[in-house]
Amino acid sequence: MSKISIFHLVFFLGVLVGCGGKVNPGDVSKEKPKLFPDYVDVTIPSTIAPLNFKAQGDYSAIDAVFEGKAGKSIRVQDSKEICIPASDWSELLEATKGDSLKVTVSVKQHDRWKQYASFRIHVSETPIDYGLVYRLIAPGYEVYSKMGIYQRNLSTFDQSPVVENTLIPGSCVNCHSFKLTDPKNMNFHVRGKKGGTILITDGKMNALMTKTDKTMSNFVYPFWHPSGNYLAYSVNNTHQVFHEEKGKRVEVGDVASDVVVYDVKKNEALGTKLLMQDSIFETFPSFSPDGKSLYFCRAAHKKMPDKYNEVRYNLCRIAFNPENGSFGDKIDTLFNATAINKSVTFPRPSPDGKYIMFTLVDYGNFSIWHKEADLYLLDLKTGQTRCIDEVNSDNTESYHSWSSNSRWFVFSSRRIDGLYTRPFIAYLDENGKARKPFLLPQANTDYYDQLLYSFNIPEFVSGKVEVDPNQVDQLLDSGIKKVTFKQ
Amino acid sequence: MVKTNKYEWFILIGLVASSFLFFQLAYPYHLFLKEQIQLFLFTPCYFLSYFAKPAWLAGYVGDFLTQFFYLKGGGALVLSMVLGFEWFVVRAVVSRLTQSSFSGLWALLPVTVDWSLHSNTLHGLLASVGFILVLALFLAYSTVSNKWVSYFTLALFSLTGYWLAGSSFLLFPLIAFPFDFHRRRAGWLKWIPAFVLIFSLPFILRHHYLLTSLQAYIYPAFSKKDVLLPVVLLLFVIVAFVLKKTESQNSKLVVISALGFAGVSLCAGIFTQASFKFEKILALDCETYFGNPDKVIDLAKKYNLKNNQATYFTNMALAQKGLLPENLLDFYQPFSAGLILPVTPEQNWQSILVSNEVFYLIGDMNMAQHSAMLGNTFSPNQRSSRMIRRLAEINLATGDSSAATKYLRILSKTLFHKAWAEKQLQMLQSGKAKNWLTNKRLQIADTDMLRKSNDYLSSLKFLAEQHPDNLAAVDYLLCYLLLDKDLKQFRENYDRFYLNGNRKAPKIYAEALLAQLVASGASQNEVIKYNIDAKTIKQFAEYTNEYDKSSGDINALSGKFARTYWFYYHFAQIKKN
Repeated sequence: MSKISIFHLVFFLGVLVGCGGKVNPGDVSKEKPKLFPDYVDVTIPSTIAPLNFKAQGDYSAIDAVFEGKAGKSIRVQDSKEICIPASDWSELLEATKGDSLKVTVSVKQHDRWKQYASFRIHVSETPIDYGLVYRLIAPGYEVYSKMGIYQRNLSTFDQSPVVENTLIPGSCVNCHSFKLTDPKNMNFHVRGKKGGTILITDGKMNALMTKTDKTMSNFVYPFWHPSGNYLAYSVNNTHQVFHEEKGKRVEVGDVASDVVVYDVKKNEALGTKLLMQDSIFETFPSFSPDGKSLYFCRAAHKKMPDKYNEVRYNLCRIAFNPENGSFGDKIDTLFNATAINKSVTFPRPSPDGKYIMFTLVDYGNFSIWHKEADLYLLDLKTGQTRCIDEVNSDNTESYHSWSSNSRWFVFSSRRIDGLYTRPFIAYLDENGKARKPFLLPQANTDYYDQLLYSFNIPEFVSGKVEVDPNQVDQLLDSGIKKVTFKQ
Repeated sequence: MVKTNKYEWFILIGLVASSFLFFQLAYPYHLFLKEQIQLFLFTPCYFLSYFAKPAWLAGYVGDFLTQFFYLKGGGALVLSMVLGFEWFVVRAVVSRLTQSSFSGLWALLPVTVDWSLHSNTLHGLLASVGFILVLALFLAYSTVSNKWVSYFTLALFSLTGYWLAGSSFLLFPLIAFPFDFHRRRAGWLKWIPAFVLIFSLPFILRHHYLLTSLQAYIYPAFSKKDVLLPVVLLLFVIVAFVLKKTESQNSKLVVISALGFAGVSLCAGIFTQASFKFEKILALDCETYFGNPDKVIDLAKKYNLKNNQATYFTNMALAQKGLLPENLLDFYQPFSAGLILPVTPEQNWQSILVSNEVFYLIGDMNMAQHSAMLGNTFSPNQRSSRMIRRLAEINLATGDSSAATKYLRILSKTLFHKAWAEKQLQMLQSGKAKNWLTNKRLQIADTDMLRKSNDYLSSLKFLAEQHPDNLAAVDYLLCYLLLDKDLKQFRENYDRFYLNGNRKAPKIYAEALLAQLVASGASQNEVIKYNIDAKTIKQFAEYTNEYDKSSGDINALSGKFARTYWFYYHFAQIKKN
């Protein structure tokens, strides 16, 4: 007992001597610190969870002072990482809304404190939604073992599962989507022996068998109509091939694909010849916020996989009448990517109707494994398209989704290690200029280092998602409804 | 605790020694695999991950101990000590419940069941730790004499037992209630809520823990048969209790019966649970992982297994030694299925786990990475030290330093992979590649090609074309064609990679070439070009004579020519199981 006490005392004193006490920097650097995650000069919402971080390089102690408005400040010191007390952080952000925090980081190296140049964290007044929903999946490309769809409260570090495939053994859960960010209107697919599309409308769950005689596959990529009465889906005949070159890994492409609209009330898939052409690949549908246009990607058919790198998608639009579920009779091209030898994926209109954000790659539609994939913004008023350099990196930026007020967007990026996608959140100001994005904060700064799953399809939600896995199981067992097709 | 008498010390020492010898001498490779399919990190994040499921304490302690299985002899030592400790606790419980003088003997029964369950790859130490933990909770509970403290203790244990130890805790009321009943403190108001709570908690918490009802009631076990352990304990507690009154008069009979039961239970358990054939396959697998191709070849000769995986590891060892075409037919060859293991949902997790080895060997790094990621994902707990190490190696080889660093950092948080990981991190920082890495990088393709995951032939051709000096890939290509009896393609590729490379034809290639040359009506000049030795030509003539004479009778040819390619070509068939 006495040994333990002495050990603890020595350890405690060691901690005090090693990393406690006043910082008297012997060295003041003009450089800003290199942090992980990189929170230097980022813009954050006032309700975000504490931005815990560590500095790069070796040190025996780290010290950070966060100074906000009205003389409020927080100081944190540790031997390894800066973990900010949640309640102090929350108060500081609330007090600093619309302004910025001044952050001063010092590290102790060889018994000498070194202070870096201060940086700013801008605290936006614009609110962000309640949380994110994403799929965590090992980047194993084609088969699945353990995976799930999870939700994360953005104000805390709480992550909880929406559904995990361990509950439906041998299955895969994918393609979750929401009516805007409404947690009571949700869609996801369950693939495997017990498969189906789970559709939750105003909290009521249904399971659908979506393969019809006239469509080539089950429903794949979804997008909700703002009214909640329709969902647009692609139907795809997909194949997967592997690269031999070390810089590339895998290609997924469609041998054929079409777009249909599902009428929720009639349990009917609506098609039009214009979106189901054999000579054309149509995919990634999304509705405009007024519900009168259907955006989608469209490419000339090529023999696959031989000509996989010649498939290039343009961003197109067709009129849609939500009154009767009918389509327009012409297709407009909004962004002619083929003209610049590029290809568009994931067009996502902002809920305020001002922009469409999409991913641009050299070819194909599987942007997630394209290192060159970057985010682009199409201004629907001016018709101008620009690369969002403020948020792109030299690695993949792919899936993205808007907050309900169109001022924040979340996107997945492989910039950290080139292998695992991580969720970054960025602010878009009133002029359409994005601010430096920040990585979704975690309680532990080693979290991303140790996580062997990718964040897939991050989507904002305005509240907690409630899915009863028992009901999913029961519906897939005995309550599945077959979708019909109408052209 | 009950005092241990000298006879019980014999039992304990006998149990620990015999289990150590069994696992060390007869079953060591299963234990190596158990370490390879887990990844124990000394980090807060990793510790917190145990709270996502029930039995966090049993899981954490069990996995902590399992990491020592990495060491030679470590697995057997840890496991035998755990079994010894388990016996000690079971004995105390039996004694507390029955006051039998033979508690030490009765305690052997559940422990031998646990021993045999450990013969299964998926029965982890966490199951034993959970069981011990529950028995320890019971022993703690049984020492409480105050009525209200016992109420409080029962309530506390009922609420936390499942959280700490998992489904093993369902045993607690089944032993604690009779104990209370015997001591006349088993009030219904006390025990009905406790029973309801303990047995309903797994059901209530199943959604929180994301488990099906069955999984919730057996967690952390993967299989229903793990329930045997508490069942056997209960059974023999009853037996001990029933025999208590007569045991002093029939002590010899009790000793013989208990020892007999333990012996029979152990033998039956090992007979039904242990797979010594799989142990041999794992021996080949682990020696491959440890980098001992000579030992793999020796073991393969000794075992002479007719199994796809056994052949898979043997072929890799032969290729590493440059002996694949020389010795290919010295071993069982199930056509090309013994060269490359498919990675499909139909395969079991262990097969997927090892499928990356050949891709790594021949330099197909994208497929090696794909297989290793799937190997990790499909391993029972989705964290495998072996797969993380392989992923680090692959990314070091491809020069993807940020991905390699990620995996190396993970390994640097372990006890036994730390040194290796830190060495690689230092190498990355210095920018000076070690020999193994330089050699590995020489195999990697510089240009691109697209292939389906199961299109092995295209991939092998591509790798050979990219680097004709990558002998492992060239031999895999040629042997793949030979084993699938595609002589035409074999000769084309042989000409390209062997003949043009001025390499002498190894045995099986010479035999196949002769057959192909004759079949295609090649001229004598053409035959001379291949520089096939006179002995092989003579043997071929003998074979064809014999074949004609016996009208293709397998029995007439099998004695002298069983290991020739001609014999394989004529008679090898795939047997459908």
